[in-house]
Amino acid sequence: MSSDNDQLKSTMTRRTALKLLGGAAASLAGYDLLAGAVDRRPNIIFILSDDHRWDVMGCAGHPFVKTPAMDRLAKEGVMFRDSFVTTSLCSPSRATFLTGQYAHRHGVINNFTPWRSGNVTYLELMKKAGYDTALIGKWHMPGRGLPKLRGVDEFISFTAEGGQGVYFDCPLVVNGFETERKGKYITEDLTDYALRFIEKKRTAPFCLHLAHKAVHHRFQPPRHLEKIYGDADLGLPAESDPFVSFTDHHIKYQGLTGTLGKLYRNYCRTVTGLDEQIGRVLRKLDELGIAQNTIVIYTGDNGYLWGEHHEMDKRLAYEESIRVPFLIRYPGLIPDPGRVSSRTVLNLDVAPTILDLAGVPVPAWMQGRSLKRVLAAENTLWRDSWLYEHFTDYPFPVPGICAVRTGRYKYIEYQKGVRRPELFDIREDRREKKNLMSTARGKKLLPGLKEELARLKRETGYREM
Amino acid sequence: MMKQSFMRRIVVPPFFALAVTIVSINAYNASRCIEGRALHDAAAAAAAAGMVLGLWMGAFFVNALAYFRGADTRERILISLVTPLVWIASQLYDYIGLYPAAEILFLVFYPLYFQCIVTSLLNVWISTLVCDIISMKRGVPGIRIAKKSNIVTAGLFVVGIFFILKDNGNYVFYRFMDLYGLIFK
Repeated sequence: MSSDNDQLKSTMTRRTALKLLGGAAASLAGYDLLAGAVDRRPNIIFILSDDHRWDVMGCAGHPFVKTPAMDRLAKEGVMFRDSFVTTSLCSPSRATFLTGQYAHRHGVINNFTPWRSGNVTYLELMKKAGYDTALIGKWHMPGRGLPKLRGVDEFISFTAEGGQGVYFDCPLVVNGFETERKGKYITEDLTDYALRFIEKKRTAPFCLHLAHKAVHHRFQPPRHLEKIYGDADLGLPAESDPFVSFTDHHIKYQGLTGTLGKLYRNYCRTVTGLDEQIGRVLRKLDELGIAQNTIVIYTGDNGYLWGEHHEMDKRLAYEESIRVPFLIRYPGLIPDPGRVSSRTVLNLDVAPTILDLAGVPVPAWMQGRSLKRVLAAENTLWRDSWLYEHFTDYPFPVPGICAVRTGRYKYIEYQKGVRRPELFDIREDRREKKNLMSTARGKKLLPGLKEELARLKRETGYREM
Repeated sequence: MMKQSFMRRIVVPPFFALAVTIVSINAYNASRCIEGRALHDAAAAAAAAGMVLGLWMGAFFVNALAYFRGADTRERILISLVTPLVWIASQLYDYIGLYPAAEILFLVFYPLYFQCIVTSLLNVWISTLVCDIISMKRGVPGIRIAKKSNIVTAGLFVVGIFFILKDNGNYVFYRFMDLYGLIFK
């Protein structure tokens, strides 16, 4: 019996070995050799999620959420600890990722202002540089249907619910054709399309912009994850309210009904569902033998308040709302994988970084900075402060916001309405509970921060809209 | 039903619902100061129950109280809407200065506020039916339950509730947003 088992093991080993050899040969024939012969520039996969705040990842120290794929990206790449969005709202932030510009520059200032056809995306520039390009997933910028995006070979998106999409059975617009997707879970469905794009035989490198609906409300995980974390101690902030979703305007999204704990549990499940799909992408790269020469960037379009400051949702300039996960894996460049970088990175930086890593000149009109040097070495001179902006977004009672965040302080100005300016020492008060505005220390700090805010506004061409 | 004084018929009934709502909203906010998690959650849950009772179900009790104090149908509808309208006004206050007046006014159609009014009207209707049944049992003459207007009203509420609950309320929310986009953008 034991010898049979040994023989079986030995057969399996031989089979497995043969399979592996076959796979490797196929990948060499299909990719590496071709790439070597034609184009050695890296492939790029940019994965963007929705409403995923920076700390709901295993690698960020979350107590129970399992995100092995994100953890792998962090382990094999760089995890940026201080990563932010310049506007904490879907449409403006998405346009910023695509253009490398502030919202006041690209013009998508809220979820109602249409995308300007004159805007140039990094995908357009990558296409001009000879890349195969695809935008798969959430577009969610206003306008009549989806735009005709220049420089995108494949454009697969959705328009349901004002572009927000739905988790199950979400119809997709596949290169202009509306397609029913009955029985499909959107994160998996979009990943299927992404894998098909990655797998295509090609001579040029590819650049994929994969933008998920997950983990936006209604926080619906795939069916097989509906029960996980059922017993987990959620560890919600002490000041959070169980029914915050029913009060103080938070019921704006009808989908937010339910206790905070129930919603948060589903959010965590949806994050794990998203992670599973990122894992599929990473495994596909391994399988094709192209992982070494493929840059994978993962981030989110904004954070999310889960009861902190008695708030839910985003928009506000508090840390929970503006901080996002930011992971980059690029074995070809990063000398010390697993590094946790303390450099401040912004959504503005993604487009210039992708262009730079691909060897494409970064246009002067892009307002972000390439992270290439930071990826190669942590000790790089970097930004000390940056501008946060928010413009009103009907029907939400959040005023226009301008804020400056330095490595240590944050000063927030509200343009109209009932909210008053706030000043926080982030280093001593990470939860931003003590507004220093009326203190002697705050009064001393204020002129310098106001001056810095004014300088950033001038430099970025900020204007109230 | 004998018509009682203006004070007892019109002022007192909505006062109770309004008072419960105001007290419970403040109690809910105050619960944030409680340090212990379990105690905090219990206090918040109790206050939330008060909010539901005062704001979303208050019209049921307001209508019943006014009914037996001789208020007519129009008076009962009006006073049953006092609490929802005060609450909506308090919510809209935060919007002043953020959006043009026309857009703030359009918020009256915002699903949450609209639902609050519809729910209150539904409460008035159900409460009236209950009061009618009680009156019939007490031998009050001239009261009929099975009448055309009740059937039509029931039908309207069934349709309304179907749309309100459809897709966990998201359906109505996105139709509101579509309408907003059509009118203002």
